[in-house]
Amino acid sequence: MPIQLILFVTIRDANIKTARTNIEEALQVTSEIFFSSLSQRRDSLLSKVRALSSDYAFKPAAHTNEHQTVLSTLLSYQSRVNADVMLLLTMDGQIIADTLHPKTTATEFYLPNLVELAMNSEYGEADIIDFIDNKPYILVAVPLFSPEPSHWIIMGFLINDEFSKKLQQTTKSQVSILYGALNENWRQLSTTLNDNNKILSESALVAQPWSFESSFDLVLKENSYVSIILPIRKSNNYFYIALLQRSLDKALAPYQKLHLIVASVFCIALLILILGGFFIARQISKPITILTNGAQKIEQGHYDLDIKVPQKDELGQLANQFNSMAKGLAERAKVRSLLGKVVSSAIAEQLINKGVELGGEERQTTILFSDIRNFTSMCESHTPKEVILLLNQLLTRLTASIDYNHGVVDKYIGDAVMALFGVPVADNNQANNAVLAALMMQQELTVINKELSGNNFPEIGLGIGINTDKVLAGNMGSNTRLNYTVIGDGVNLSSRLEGLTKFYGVSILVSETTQSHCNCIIFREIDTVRVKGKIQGITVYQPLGARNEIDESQLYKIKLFHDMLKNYKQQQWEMALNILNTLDNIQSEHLYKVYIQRIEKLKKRNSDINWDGIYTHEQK
Amino acid sequence: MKINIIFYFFVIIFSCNLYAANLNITVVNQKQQVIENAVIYINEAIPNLTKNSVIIDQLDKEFIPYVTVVQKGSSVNFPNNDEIRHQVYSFSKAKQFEIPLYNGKSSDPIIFNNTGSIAMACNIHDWMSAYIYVVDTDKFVITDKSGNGIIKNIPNGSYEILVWHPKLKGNVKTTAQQVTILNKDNNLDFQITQKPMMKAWRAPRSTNRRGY
Repeated sequence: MPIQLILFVTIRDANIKTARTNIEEALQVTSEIFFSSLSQRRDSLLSKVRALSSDYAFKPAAHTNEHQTVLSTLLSYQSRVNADVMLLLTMDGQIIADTLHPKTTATEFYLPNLVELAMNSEYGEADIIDFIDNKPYILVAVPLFSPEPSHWIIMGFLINDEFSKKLQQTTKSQVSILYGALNENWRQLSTTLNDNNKILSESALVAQPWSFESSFDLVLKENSYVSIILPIRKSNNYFYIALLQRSLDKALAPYQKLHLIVASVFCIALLILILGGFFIARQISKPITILTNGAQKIEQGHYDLDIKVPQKDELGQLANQFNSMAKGLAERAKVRSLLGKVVSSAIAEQLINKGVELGGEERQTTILFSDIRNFTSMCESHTPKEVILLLNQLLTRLTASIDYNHGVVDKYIGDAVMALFGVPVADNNQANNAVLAALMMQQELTVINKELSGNNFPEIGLGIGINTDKVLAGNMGSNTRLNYTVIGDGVNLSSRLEGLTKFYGVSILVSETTQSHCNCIIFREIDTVRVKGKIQGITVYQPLGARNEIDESQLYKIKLFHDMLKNYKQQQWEMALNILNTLDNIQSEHLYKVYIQRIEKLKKRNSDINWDGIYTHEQK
Repeated sequence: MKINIIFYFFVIIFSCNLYAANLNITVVNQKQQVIENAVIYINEAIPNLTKNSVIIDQLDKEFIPYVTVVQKGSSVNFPNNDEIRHQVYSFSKAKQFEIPLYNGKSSDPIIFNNTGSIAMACNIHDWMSAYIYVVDTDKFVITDKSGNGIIKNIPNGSYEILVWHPKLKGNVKTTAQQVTILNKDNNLDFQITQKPMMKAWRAPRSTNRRGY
């Protein structure tokens, strides 16, 4: 656009320049025409006088030298050739007759230099511009040969507007004839300028610097003219000059038309540009807006896009690619979502990000096993549909507790849940998190039981075993089908611990390893046991809650129980029994009964120095 | 025998020209250029001068000759040898005349009774001009191309010699010379001043002169 604007201005300038150059050139040519025209006029004037000088009727008339005869002859001839003045002089410059001054005779001619010029010229002819009675005339002098030069015939034409008009016809320019000296006011003798411009031309020549025969701008009242000044005659310090002028406005008229056309083209081009730009912007911006919105939707997780860009260009292709991408992303998200349902979301993430590789690594892991008590019996009294609905509800809420505490569900085994803490994402607080999850699961169960009691379901119990150990964690299975899971003794132990909860009548049992990693939870030591397949005894604990959640009476009861265990381990049966009975009196527990029965059995035995206080569980 | 002696005596007398002599004249202008067509004559009127009849031809639109000296009282015929007509005129003081358009032989000869120069021309052909100079003597000559002329057989005596020329500036008297002829040929040099002669305009001239 700026280029077009520059072009327009350049063309305009060039046009004005061209117009000016054309006028200047035309004026130069006109100058020649002007001089040639003047020359012709002079020759024509001379010819008229020459013709008279050869007129053999005129000769005898002249030779009468009679004032009236000559005067009437001159007047007659003057009207014949349309001259403005005629004189007949004697050879020594005495007026015989003068048509401007009919009474004058036998006096010196008032323009002696004309005669002098003629006398000194080869053919006895001369021409001048001079004033008679303050009026400018072109005057010629030609001798009358009869056959020797006997008289001077003088003929003159007035320089008036008519004179300029005749020159205008040949020069096609405004013609003014002025008289004056340089740097003085000029007197306009004749002009073709209109009255308004006429007034100014005299003074304008003083104000405006100019030189002969070179063009310049002359601003008159109404018009601006490219002008040129030609010297016609010089007498002393006074000049007769011709001012030739051509109107710049007139010369520019055809260019004005061109300007109009160029300006129109410019405007139309601008309009097309704006509309085109708008259209193109729409063609580009609209699909881009659609694509941007699509991208935002994808960012927000809405993959069900169908971006419609009807164009068949690159943007159309991009939109198609975008749809394909969204479809791909949707599929991936679906896979991820499914994966998250089939495996835990953390494992799914691990699978997606790290890829699926067979194999594993030894990792410190806390394994949580939970099992619903009495589920089998409940199955019998309800329809499978009801059972599955209940199981799904139960598992969903239990899983939520696990998720909440950064655990991952490894698998569901019927009504049992195996959950992992510390894999695949390492977790320094894994033991604590696992215990908190177990506690939360128990709380959740309380809520569930309240809900179930309303629906005619029996109360449900939940046993949870937790162990922390180094186990092998990774993808296990075959090339085509595998599971992320953990294997090792530690896994078995946690399963055993879950099984022992029923024995001790507690809901949660954790191994000593797990207990040792939990700082903020109050535990009750339950027993030291030797599980099947293990020689080493393991102390098992029951988590009771976060340190700040346990009140004084509970702490007291825990302390009493721990005292009891101390006595028990020292085989102080009576003391132990006393404490147990005290505790049982405060609040009966199955655990107390387990110990009371166990101590009653031990009392019947003799005391054994090798007794290590470890209780061996035979059952699985 | 006697007759023979007398005869030889006269022959000798006349051949020696003991009582007369010739005048050899050369005319130059102010630029020392020799002047042709200058009329040299003795300013001494001779009574009962022979009246001649002179012819000035018009041939090829020119007068022939250019300068003619005519003894006072003589007549001049202007026969027209061109196929076209001419109109001969003069406004000179010595003789003003006009012969209307004619061809062939003009009707009447023109008689010149006054001395002086007569400039004549053709009214139709501007360039045709010729001069007649009327003198009241028979002692005159017109210079040739080399500016020389001889006035022969001037009797012994003292004379005023005058020179006239169509371009002579001023009066013939200004260059008058006195000469005494005594049985001996004399040489006389004249220097006259010529006025610049305006050329009559003949044919359209091309002009590059600037002016109106």
